[in-house]
Amino acid sequence: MKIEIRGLRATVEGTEILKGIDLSMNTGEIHALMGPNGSGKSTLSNVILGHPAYEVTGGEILVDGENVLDLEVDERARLGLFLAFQYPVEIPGVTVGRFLKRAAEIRFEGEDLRAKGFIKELRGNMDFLEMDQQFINRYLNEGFSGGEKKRMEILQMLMLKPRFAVMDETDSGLDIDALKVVAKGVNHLRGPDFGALIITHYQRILQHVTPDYVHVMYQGRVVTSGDEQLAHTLEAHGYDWVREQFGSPRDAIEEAR
Amino acid sequence: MSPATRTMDETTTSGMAAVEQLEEYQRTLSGPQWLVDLRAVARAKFHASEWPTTSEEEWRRTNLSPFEFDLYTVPSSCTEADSPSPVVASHETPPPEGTAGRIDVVSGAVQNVRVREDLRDAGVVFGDLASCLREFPQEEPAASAMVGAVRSAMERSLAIADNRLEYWHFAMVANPIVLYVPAGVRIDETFEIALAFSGEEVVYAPHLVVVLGKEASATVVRRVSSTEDGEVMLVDASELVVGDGARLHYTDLMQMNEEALVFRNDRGNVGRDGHVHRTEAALGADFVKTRYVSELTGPGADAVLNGLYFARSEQHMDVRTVQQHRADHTTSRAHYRGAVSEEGHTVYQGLIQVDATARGTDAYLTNKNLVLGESARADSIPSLNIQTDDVRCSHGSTTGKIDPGQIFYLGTRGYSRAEALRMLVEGHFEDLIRQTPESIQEELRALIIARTPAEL
Ligand SMILES: Nc1ncnc2c1ncn2[C@@H]1O[C@H](COP(=O)(O)OP(=O)(O)O)[C@@H](O)[C@H]1O
Ligand SMILES: [Mg+2]
Repeated sequence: MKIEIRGLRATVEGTEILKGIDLSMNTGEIHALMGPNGSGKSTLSNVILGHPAYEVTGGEILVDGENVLDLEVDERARLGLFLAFQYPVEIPGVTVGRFLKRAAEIRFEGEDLRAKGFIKELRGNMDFLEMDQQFINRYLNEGFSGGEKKRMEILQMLMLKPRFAVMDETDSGLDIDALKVVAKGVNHLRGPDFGALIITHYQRILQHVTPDYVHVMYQGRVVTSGDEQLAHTLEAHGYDWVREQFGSPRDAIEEAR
Repeated sequence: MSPATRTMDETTTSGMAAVEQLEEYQRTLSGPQWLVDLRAVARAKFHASEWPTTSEEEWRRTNLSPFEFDLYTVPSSCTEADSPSPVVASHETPPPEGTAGRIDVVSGAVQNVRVREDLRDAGVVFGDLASCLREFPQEEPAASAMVGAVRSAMERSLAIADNRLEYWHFAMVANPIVLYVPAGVRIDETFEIALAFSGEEVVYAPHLVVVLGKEASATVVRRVSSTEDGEVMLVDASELVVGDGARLHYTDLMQMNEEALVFRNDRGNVGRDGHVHRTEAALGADFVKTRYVSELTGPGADAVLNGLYFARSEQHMDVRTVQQHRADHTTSRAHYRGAVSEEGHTVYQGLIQVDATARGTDAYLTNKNLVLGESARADSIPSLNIQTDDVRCSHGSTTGKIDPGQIFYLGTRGYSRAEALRMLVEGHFEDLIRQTPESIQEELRALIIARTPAEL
């Protein structure tokens, strides 16, 4: 799967948040997207998946050459896109087991889940992520701690095997053990059939999942891209360095308006 | 006499007006003398009263004035004398696998009564009253105890009845269904009661009495449905009488067609340390006004009052519960969940009433409504009336919409908008569905899903 984002602009409630994003990513690659709070990282992930609250005002998102901007959220998911949420919502009254079984039916349409050993795989993945099996019968995310919700996102990712996952600050708020579990999940999927855009505020998770590419986002734009080394530079200099380097006069003019 | 040779003419009540010709109708109804007397008392109360008006608090949001009760006729042949009599044979036919017993009634005519034989031998009486009286000789202790209990439950209900629809019900009640479980008999399997109705502007008065003796336990599922199109009115009533230490698990699923009108007055009565778990699901009909009064009369008595309702199209549903604490250290919990779409309107009125004699009461009620459209409306009116100190009572209600964030979340997992909506709406009720017998859970889910709009 090839994802090409070209000149993407998006607004929310009339305010432009994404101001021309260019990014090219492939299955088989791990990209990291870093940037200070408020730079538009979550907006970008929502727009990639097609959140209706965001209006795309320019540019395009091509998946294997096809523009997906007119596709519904579920249609994009069916192509193999996935979003691990920064703040997963609670779905009361719907158990994890029921929710995941149906999601897998949709994802692997036409395949016999039982023959695929769905339940066994689910239990195996829960063990792998050090999750209590009781979660299968709990309502999705209801009353889960922050860390439990993040693990649940990874569990879903392992079960649904997306071709490309956007992971929005899955690492934030996690202690080191939980962080390692999340990294373990990503590394488990890593391979020619899986790609990810790991959005993070910190360099921490990148010590456990080595990215192929690192991009820095600032004020609605990808201001610089590089390899793993860029993450270390950011870690060493902090986001002030980004502001100094990329807080261009153009931004200042725009903000003054 | 086989059903084929029955002469309808002699007993038919076809076309008889349910209000104007109430007395004539009563003359066509049979039953023991006390029942005949009870109907007569009810008729007198009926004639001495007026239809409730919106000036009464309970009826404030449900206006009866457009109804032309005079137009309704009684069922054409629901009298016991005229109904087919499969009862003798049926007690020899075992009930469906996994059930304790089953009765099927179509438009008032009993089709089938089946009870597990070992339960019959243990003194359990189940069926319509007429066939039970025929089947069980009066001198059998179970039979006479059953009759005594049924009679006093019905007489008491009529004595405390407070509105014209209740009087009307007791004036028209033809052949109540009874379940009597003697002291100490505990039954895990379910008694199934299936009532189906048909007709055009026909009014029915179905009645159920459940009596559990001391330390007895039973599970009952009652399904109320329409067999076809047509405007049927149900004026329904039940008594659930739970003896000391007894446990009753009761589920009522109402799924009448979308022309039907349903009035209901149910009463529960729980003795010392007894427990009743009652669920009612209003998933049908055009117009619904129900009331369930759960009386806790013995110390330590406990009641769960669960309810599900879903009004769509232009349906109106007004559901009322009363948690009536009369004895000390009684507990009750009401959970009512509703959904409303299109031009639907729901009203939930929940009262916690604590008498001066009910110290140590612990009661709460919650009502959660899901509003699925701009023109839909859900009213929630919880209230407390507490006559003593030393109680713990609370109530809460919420009315909300589907969170678009939930739809998006499910969308990223491949769920279409319509499917996500169905799942979320069903999820709104899931806590309550899980508490019902497994045999009815999928049915409840399917009915809720079928009522969910495809788009918001
Ligand atoms: N739904 C929304 N309504 C209003 N403003 C929003 C909304 N979502 C994001 N924003 C604004 O867009 C900007 C970027 O937010 P976000 O994409 O969450 O950044 P990041 O994830 O990089 O922290 C912020 O200024 C935020 O306040
Ligand atoms: Mg964010």
